[in-house]
Amino acid sequence: MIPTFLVITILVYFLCRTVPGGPIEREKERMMMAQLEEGAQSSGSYNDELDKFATGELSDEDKAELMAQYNISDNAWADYFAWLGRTLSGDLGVSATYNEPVSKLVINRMPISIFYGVISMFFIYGICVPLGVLKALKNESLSDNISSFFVFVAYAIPGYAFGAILLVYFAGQWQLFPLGNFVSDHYDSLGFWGKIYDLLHHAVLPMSCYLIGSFAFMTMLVKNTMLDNLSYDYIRTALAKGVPYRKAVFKHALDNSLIPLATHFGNSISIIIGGSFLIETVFNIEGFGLLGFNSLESRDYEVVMGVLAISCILQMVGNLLSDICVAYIDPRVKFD
Amino acid sequence: MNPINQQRWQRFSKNKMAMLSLKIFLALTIISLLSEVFFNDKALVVYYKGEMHFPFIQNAIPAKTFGLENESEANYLELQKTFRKKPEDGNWLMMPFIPYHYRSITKIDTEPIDLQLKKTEDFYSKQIKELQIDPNANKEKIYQLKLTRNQALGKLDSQKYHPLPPSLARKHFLGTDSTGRDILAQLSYGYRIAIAFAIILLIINYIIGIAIGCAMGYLGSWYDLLMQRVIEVLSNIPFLYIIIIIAAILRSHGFTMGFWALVGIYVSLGWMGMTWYMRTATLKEKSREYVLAARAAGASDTRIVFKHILPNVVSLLVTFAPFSISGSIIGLTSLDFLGYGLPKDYPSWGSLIKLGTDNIQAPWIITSIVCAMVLVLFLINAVGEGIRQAFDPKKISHFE
Repeated sequence: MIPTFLVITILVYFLCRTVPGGPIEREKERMMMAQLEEGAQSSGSYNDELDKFATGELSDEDKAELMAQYNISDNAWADYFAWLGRTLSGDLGVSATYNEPVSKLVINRMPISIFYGVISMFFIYGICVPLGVLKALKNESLSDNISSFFVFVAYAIPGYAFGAILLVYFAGQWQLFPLGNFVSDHYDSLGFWGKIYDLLHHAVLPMSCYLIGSFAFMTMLVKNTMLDNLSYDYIRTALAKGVPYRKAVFKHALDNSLIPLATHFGNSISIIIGGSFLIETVFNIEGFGLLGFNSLESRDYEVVMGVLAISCILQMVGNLLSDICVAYIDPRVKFD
Repeated sequence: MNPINQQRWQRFSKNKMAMLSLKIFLALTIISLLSEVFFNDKALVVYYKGEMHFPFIQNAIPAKTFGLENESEANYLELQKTFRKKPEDGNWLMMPFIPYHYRSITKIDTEPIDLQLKKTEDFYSKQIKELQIDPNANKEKIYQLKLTRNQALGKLDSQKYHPLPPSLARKHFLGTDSTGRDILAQLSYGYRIAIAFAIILLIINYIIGIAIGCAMGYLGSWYDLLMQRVIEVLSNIPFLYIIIIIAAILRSHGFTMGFWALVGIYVSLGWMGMTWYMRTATLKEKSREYVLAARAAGASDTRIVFKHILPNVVSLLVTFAPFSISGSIIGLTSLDFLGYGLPKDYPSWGSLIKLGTDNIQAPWIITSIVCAMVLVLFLINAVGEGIRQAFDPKKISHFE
């Protein structure tokens, strides 16, 4: 786990260092523009002399100051370990575009991603488990085949593509729902119920996208493991010795069918908090995922590194959580 | 084909849904491979003054050849019209089913629309004038009439600009996008790129997977341990995010990723999945008696791996292929959607989705691309599910 984190962050850190257009060069550009404007204002027009004057060369002191601000020195390895130390102590640096600490940016965005994550998780587990069990019990009946078809179609749609088509029809053509964003601009002026309505009104379309992919996947997972378990001998034994059918299914088979769900639980955690930047891009929701994506577009590498570090940590925590869940549900797995 | 595989094929071919999906999928793939024949702005055959030309496979034929003024390549749709005006010359040409390439930009002939605009305007103006002269007329009625007039004019006016809605008459069966390119042609060419990408990726990943995975499983010891760590590190990478970082960085160096660069990056970050399965399968087979027997008979390591183990684990590759293909298609489309995939001049499904979300007033763009995507992925998944069932027939118990 820890080597993974180190390798990924080293890789990206050095990639980011080699890129032109980092903070110092951006500052140079800004200086150049300012100088050009100044020159244009004083003389009223651009000329060759002004161009020579506005080369955008920073004085040594300015450069040193900037390098200190963005924690850059001539030794990249030393910088990396300094970054690592700061990151582990919770300081993720300062964003160059927002001029705010990265950790503050991340914390501001988190609730949005968590909101979508928790609700979609609630729906996924609340619907998929019963539906999957039902489909397994009524295997190859008409209702099973029809629902299988829809599950299959849903499985074939990537969440963001579904989002795009929902956006165009429900928000664009029929104007039933807003065109993206997390809440309306006038959100703060609304009353309590107004706020809740506004939030949910904005959430319907993105939520459907979060749901659709995992929904299909989870339902089939539950159905298939349930079918497997139902065909095992222990169910036959239980039925033979007089355990009621209901109890055999819901106690014996279902308990065992939940194990693969538990292994997936951890992965869901990183999606819950990390969000999906594809869906967030479609609906322009200012969540954690979009923060990372936008910072890439604006070459704000402090934020890129911060988001990357946090998503790596989340993924590792997710894996750990999965293991704990499995150990909790499956008595055969024990921690030494 | 050995008897086990024969049985598997029989089970697969009995699965109606999987077979049908496979047939449709193959048909679509063949059509898209022959995109130049079905979707092209170059004529298939031109018969001019007793000579046959095949512009769609030939290099640009100067328009002079066909009696036009231009040195550059002829506009074959125009040429067709001039030929039809003079049927007595006996010249003819045959256009593809859809006379548009994914690059070809349709110019809208505004003359008839302008004419119609004028007609409509005159029609309403006359009525309105009559009403305005009449002192007893209802003011509300004039207002209503003006409203209908503006609506009618607006509707006509929008026909002068792209994107155009689907129309049989114009042969834009799925409409055009905002720059005037045919959607159906873009779908076909984009599909070809996506499927080529997926299959190339599949082959490379499988070669790497077999080589490294079998070696890991068979050799074991430090090599296995080392590669295990490497795989563990790589598979925890946030895949899409890292690819975008790399693409963004390459772009800021003024270098856009072409098709092969993208394949390279995808392989270097995604080869682990297959390798891992191959390792497990090899490890399992290695401890079987037949391997022991081969070794006792004096077979070399290479012989054991290639002649004995590999044929037994290779069936695993088949079951994973469809899901690997659909995964690659989704991945490429997402990257193109975000603008970090193939260069802009490639036809691509991802950029069509982007176009669709940017042109909310033109719902046919997003409808076409999402439906196409769902259809293709559905077919691939159905085939994959069929293969999985054929390879792993489950006994399902029914309790009543």
